[in-house]
Amino acid sequence: MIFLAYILLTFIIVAIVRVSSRKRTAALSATVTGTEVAAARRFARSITLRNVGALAVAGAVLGLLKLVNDAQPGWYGLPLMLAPGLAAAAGLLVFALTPTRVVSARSSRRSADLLPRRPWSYGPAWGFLLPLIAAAAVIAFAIVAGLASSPQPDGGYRSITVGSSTSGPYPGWFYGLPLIGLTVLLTAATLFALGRIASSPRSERFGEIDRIVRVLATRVVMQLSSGALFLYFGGVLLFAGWATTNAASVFAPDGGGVVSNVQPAAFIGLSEVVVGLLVALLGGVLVVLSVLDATRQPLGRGAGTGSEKADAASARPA
Amino acid sequence: MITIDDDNPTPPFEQIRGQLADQIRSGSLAAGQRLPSVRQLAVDLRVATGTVARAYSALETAGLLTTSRGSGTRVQPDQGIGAGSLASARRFVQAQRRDGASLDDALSAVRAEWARDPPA
Repeated sequence: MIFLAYILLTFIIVAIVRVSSRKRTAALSATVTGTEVAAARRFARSITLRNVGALAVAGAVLGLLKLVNDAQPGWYGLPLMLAPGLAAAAGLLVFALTPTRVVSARSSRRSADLLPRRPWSYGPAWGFLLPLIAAAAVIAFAIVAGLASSPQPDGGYRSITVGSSTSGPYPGWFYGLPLIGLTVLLTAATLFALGRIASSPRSERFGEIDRIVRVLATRVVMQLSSGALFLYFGGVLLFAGWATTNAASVFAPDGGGVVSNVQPAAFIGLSEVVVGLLVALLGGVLVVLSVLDATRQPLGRGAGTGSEKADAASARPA
Repeated sequence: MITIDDDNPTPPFEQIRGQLADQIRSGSLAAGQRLPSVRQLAVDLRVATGTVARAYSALETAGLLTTSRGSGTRVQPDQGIGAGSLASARRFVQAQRRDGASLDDALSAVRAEWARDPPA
């Protein structure tokens, strides 16, 4: 029931975001005309294919890690916790290693503009800063949770103890250290993908299409990586909150309900649950938006009727 | 914008160096402006990275560019030609065009005049 509500809310928010940004995103398509429209269309298809391929790899890694998680109960859900981040990192690597660009037939005269292209040139500053701050927050939370955790009988730091009450699973060092490693990996994969988007050769005659492709690619990369980060951070906050709330609850001796709470642990636990739900919701929204942007065509439907003339376009790995 | 022409007998390195030097001296590239990385310019112009690196290095030696690890390659300040010289050049070019002269003709005229009346 909660999962269904989550899915429903995610799609409602995605619909609102899409409708409210319709005018802005309409600018992310170019119209071409001339003798080589077909080549330009092939180029557009190749971009979609690359994007969908990267998302398919991410989906496959996600499914694989779910199977591993089911097959290894002794890993206490670790593969499932890491799944969104690892899947996104795999997708980003595929995305980065198969960049697609407009290729003009090599002419004897070739031009280049003198504006540097940087990994952050194709998106708003907040679009890069917020995920970076979120990644730092994940690492800070993993360290704080690790320090607050207590060991299980097998020595794994997967519990939290409040007074004499212990509860788990809790994101102590057992989950926290892989979580920190995953966040570093995801950040590196994102920077690598952004670097590849910026460094691929610029098309001379398809300047506008070239810019649109880079803007769209940057959106897909940032939405996918941020979405994955928020998904696993939201999940971690949720199970940290549940464990903390349970550990802070004093139950009736006859097995009845909660008779009192230990403060401020109970408040912290409840806050973690609420923030975790919101963060996970944001993560889901961003992942769905990345899928939608990945399948967006950089060429408008009116291709063949506009003014920008195509000379050649094809896909080529850099 | 910078253009490479394979049909031009001038080597690509010199074409890049010359165009950048012209743009710096004419003020088209402002003081402190950051230039693209060697790799970016090389892939866009489809020349070897060494070609662009050599042009950047020559401009650095001439004092037109400065390169540092943190801030990349930037245009050195105070490298532009004065406004008076630019205005004179514009008038000269307009006159040459009216007479149907080519760029080589115009440059020859400048060289000849420069040699005839050397600075003291």
